[in-house]
Amino acid sequence: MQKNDCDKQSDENLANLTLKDQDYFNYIIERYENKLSRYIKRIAGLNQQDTEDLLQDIFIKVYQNLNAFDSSLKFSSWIYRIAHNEVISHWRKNKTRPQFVGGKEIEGFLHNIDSGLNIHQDVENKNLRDDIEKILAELDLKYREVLILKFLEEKSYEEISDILRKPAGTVATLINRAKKQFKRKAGKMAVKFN
Amino acid sequence: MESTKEKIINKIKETELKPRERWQFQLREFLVWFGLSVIVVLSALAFATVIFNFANADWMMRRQLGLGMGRFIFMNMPYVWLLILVGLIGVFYYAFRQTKNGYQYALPLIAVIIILLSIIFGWMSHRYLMSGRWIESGAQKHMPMYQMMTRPRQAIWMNPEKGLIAGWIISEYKDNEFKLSDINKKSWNIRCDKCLIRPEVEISKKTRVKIIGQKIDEYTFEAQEIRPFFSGKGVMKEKF
Repeated sequence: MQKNDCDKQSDENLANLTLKDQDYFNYIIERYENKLSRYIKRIAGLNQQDTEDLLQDIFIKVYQNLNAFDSSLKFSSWIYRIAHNEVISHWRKNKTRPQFVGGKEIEGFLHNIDSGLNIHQDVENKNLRDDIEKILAELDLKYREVLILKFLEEKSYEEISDILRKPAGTVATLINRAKKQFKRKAGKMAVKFN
Repeated sequence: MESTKEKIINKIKETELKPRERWQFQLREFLVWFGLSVIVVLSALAFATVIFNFANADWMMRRQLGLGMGRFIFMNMPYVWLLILVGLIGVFYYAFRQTKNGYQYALPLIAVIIILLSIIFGWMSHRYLMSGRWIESGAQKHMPMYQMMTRPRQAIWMNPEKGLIAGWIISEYKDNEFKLSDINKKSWNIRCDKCLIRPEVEISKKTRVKIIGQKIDEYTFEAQEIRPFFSGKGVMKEKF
């Protein structure tokens, strides 16, 4: 199959094709390498080398478990779930608290979270960005994770439910609590959003 | 320099990795559901034993013993089986979450499902199989710890002074008399000249009974009423 043809294939089809021919796995890696790398950095705040190592482990796990993929799920939810589990087990193994990596990503975060928190965007303000990074780094992992999935990865409630293996209602509650904790921390750190 | 993609593909090729077979995942799912079915059966049996214990409580004796309703229920509450039931609900929740779509359901819903299943199957097994009776009797016979824990409930039947004793019949019924070994293993001559013997009771060796009557002397008891030890259908003969 030509590369162009593969580009038109759905993730689910590529997963099925990979089971017949290993070479199709290249296309899955191509599609998700950057997305997952970004997600790992956002959630775990690892350096480039560690991120790459973890990424390899994730794709190996994806390959080994392709037959477990449930077609009633979105493939992206399934692959993010594996990434999430690997990050958590990496975190437990190394007992390091995941750190949030901000930088330019804060813009997207602010843009998306704006409606939820009534934060007036002022993303050009470097101090504000630094403050938000600090607040996010301070949040409990479970809250930071849902905020990242919702406002940075732009996943729906249903997708977050599938990724974190939690009921959709619990996800909604977590997001609400995460927003409240975000506001509280901002208050404590005397960060004001205009 | 190798890209991440190349590294992954090379690793797969070098280590000759293969996707795990589909049947392995199906087997895992099957085992989880099988485990869940076992938990449902166990919790139904525990619930049947709870029903049996409540049904078998001596409600008619409450006034005679001068106990308030609250105290009587507190005394007769089958704590062990209720604790086992709560434990099984916890295990069911954990196992249910391991199924393919189990995570989509919240704890209260899963708890309601297992409680309803326990009630339905528990009531059926109590009603048609008398499973509660067999489990309670088996636990009392084979588990000394359980026997100790349920002793306070039986204590009212270790009261010859108040006209209440219970135990195992250890002799043939002859000339309106038989011998009984009470819960404390003390031997009594039971007289039954004008006593009422409940239809469920068969006066024969190894039968467990409860007796209401009057203490005559240290070893003799005049029965007014002989009841089955466990109420309900059927006669229980047990080894002791």
